[in-house]
Amino acid sequence: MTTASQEGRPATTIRVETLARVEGEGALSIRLRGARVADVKLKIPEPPRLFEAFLRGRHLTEAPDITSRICGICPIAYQTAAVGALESALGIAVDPMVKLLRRIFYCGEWIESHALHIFFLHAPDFLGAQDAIELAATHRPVVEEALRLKKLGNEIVRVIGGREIHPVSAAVGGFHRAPTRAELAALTEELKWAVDASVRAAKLVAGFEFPPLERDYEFVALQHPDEYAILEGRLVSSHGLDIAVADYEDHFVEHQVKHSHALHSRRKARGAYLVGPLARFNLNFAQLSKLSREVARECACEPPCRNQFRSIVVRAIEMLFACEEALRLIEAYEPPAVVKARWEPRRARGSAITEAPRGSLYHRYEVDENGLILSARIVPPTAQNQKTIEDDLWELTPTLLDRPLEELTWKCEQAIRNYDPCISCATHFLKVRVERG
Amino acid sequence: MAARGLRQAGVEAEEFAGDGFALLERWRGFERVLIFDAAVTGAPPGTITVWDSAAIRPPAAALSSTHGFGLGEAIRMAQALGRIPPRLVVCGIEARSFDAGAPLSSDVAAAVESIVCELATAAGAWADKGRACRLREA
Repeated sequence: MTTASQEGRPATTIRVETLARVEGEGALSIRLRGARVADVKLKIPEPPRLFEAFLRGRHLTEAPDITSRICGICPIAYQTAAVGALESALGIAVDPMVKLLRRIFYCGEWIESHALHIFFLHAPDFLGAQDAIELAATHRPVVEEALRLKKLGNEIVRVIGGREIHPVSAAVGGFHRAPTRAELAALTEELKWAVDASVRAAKLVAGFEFPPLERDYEFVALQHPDEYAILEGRLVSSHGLDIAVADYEDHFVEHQVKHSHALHSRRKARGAYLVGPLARFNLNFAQLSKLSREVARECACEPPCRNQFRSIVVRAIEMLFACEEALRLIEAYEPPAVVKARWEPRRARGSAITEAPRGSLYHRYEVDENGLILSARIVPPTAQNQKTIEDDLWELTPTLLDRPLEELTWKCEQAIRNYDPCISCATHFLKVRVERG
Repeated sequence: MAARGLRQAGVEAEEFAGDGFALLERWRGFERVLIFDAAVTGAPPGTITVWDSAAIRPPAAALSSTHGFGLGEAIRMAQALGRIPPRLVVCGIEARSFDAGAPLSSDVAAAVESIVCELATAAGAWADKGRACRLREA
């Protein structure tokens, strides 16, 4: 057997030219010198998409629809962050039912996105399949349930947003149209099934074998006193951060690296940090539903969970939570008295963070007295996690040097998929390359 | 355009632009399904290429996006799950341009018009035997 440490000594380059089962075009290059890792680069050659520049000069009412085009799987994250930032800028107080409806909308996105990643992108790694379609041959009932869960998430998005991909109903001040009680109530029976299906999913993935990589991550996520934060709250971390969203840019900075068209983010005081399901779960566990917490305990997955490979279990628990939460909110829903609040443009600046399926998403806008956007800044979760992904690989790779090169490469790709990276979002990113030299 | 033309001819047809895997639900229970989509084979714009699903073997790991599944992945998944209709035909119309906001080119419009006429007749014959066809607008 040729192991990674023997392969091509003394210098080896491990290259994965195209990383599979991640969204967008990215590559990983790992350079080994003997049994030492010399360099790790998560490369993002996908061209910059320049959305912040597109937004300049556009009317603020266009921001939710333009930014939703950044991503096909998390458009609600973009829409709600955009409207949240602009409503903050303009001092708009939305109807309480609009807030509730946005949370159901977001639950739909979490269900479809988490179902996609758990079953179609991540489970094949643990079950030795190339993709979900190959998985369908060996685990048909699992894939059938996955399709049904994803369909439900899509349907929630369609009912509230008008269509399942790039929905069109979100507006600054509320919605262009709010669904009737009956339209949402029609989702109830399928959501009840989805609660049970999510419990099965969590128990299934909890039985996978997880590489023992535990790191002292700085977890960063929104936190809200009354609920598992999705749409609002303060930004907190496991290492003492506790700030208002408006102060985000005082504490976090983006910088360019040669090997990536997506900016790297770091917390000014500490460096790399982690956003996403694991961060939310560790910081806000107590605010998950009772059933979600019980299932997490049954799955031996309780905070602090510092193994990103176990994020697949956390996603399943968050999917369960989202199903329960949608059920609870649909029961409480009444069509908003004010579907779209009236507002007047003014020169202002506002920011918002929402918890996209992959982690915290920051939007900040400056607008003029005519409602035109003067500047926009968007910091997506994958860009924030880039440095942490590289740091994971620096620690993981040395533990795998006695393994065949093919296995080492696969595990490194899997470590990247732990983050469900969305390169399309990050460039507004995968290829793997391991090099000895 | 194809869907609209066929509906005008009394054929059940719908437009679809969502998640490719949702197609498995759309064609559930249908004996015969006809799907229109834009195609790029290198042939002149407007060229119509017809593939029978029994002969379609979309390549594995050829996803252009993991966050949006297309027709190829939908057919592969349906084949894997045994959820492919008994007769599924993909009708690819060679596109001239995929530029954002570009109108339908005249050669592609003419191709759609001609095949709609032909298919309305054929689908009418299918409908006489029971359920009609479905179309995906390119």
